[in-house]
Amino acid sequence: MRNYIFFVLLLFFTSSCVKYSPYVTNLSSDEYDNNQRNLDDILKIPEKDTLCFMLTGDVQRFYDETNAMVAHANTDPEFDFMIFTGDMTDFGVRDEFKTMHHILNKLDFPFLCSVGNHDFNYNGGAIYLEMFGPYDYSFTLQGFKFVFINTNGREFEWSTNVPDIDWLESELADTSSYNGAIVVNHVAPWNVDFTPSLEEPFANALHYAGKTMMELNGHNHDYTSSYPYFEDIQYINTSSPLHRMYIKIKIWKTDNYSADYSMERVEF
Amino acid sequence: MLIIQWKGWSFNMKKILLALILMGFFLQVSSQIIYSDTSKKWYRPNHIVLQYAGDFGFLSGGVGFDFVDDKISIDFLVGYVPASIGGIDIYTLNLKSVYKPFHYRINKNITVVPFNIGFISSHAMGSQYNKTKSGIYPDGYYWWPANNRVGPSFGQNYYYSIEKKKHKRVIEFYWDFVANDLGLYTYFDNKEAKLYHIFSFDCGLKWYF
Repeated sequence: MRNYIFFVLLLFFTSSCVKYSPYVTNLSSDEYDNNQRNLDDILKIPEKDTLCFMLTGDVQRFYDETNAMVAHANTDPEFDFMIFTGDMTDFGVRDEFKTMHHILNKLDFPFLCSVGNHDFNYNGGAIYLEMFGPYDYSFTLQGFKFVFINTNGREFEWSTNVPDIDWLESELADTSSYNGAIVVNHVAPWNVDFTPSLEEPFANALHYAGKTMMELNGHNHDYTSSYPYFEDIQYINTSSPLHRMYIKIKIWKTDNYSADYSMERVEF
Repeated sequence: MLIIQWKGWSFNMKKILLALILMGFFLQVSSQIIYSDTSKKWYRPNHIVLQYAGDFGFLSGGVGFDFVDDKISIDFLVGYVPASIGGIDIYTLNLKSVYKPFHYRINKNITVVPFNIGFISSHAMGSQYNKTKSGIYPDGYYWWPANNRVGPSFGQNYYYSIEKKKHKRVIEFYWDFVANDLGLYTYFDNKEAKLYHIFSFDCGLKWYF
């Protein structure tokens, strides 16, 4: 009897059934620095004529739909990696981060995240930093410059440093080092949650860099696509898995030290 | 669905359950569990409580009151999660109401409540839990209550009483499973979410003066 009680209590005290608060931030050892770990894998992709990536975002507690999307995407052998445009969570609580981390790690290819406004709820900003890494980061992959930038101006009380335009300009400045640039963020510059005074500087930074191919954002949950500034850069708002759609993008280099791309919508 | 028919009346499980709960409420007028005497000072708490886990913190403690022949208890608890356990220091103010419909006296000293249901409410201290009040968000921008976690609980209570010359001393051990609204939203939106994902175990001790 005494052993029985001991084991039952041990089970309760060590299982996930014991929760101290919804707002805790501690993670398991395999849940840290996902962006860096996935980037290490992405940089090992052998040199290709055409790179292919999946685009999604705003998964926010749509666990059933996200599971279906992951299963569908895994049937496509062309994908090299996935780009996620933010809003990993709805409430920004740790259990949501852990659940979505678990679901997205079922992908057969690595994924990279941008930070969304919902990820800043409660202690979510701190959890995001530990689980994924810095809000702003960039890398060059086989001649393509990828810039991930935090544009959640409302979450930073309209800070004139979110998005960090100086950093964005400096990242895009050395156009001799890349064929084409892709900018990834959560809130589109014309959105009400983007710091209004920074809309024009943001669009200018992308345009005047000269080699920016596209801007990928989320936040609206529905697919939209437009050329809102200067008619040269396509701004793509990805669909949430809630609407049973993700986007497949192919990028390749062209002769004159430039690049081109194609895009298709995939329903699942 | 189990349906019982008797003299032209038909009862299904829901009606039977409702009837049992009402019977528990109205027919058990007699014995109190702990004989809490509230006649002299109505504002005086009946017990102190110390609890482990259950969305209130790693540890939470406070005072409580008993009502309606000790069938209802309302506890006020202050909770704390240290950063070494939760990753960040969390301080909470909590309210826990429990309804105990039945109790059984096992022997002279031990009384058991085999099933209780309750309601919890939890409030965290800190600006990040109240940011929707900062004025930079339109109404309903984040649609859920920012800093008022509410949810159901169920569990059991065990009482051990020591007869003293003048009055009883009672110690209680209890355990519950509690859920909060954030978990419940997720549970109802996703087929793959299970109840054991959203409920948390807690247990605690009460000392009745």
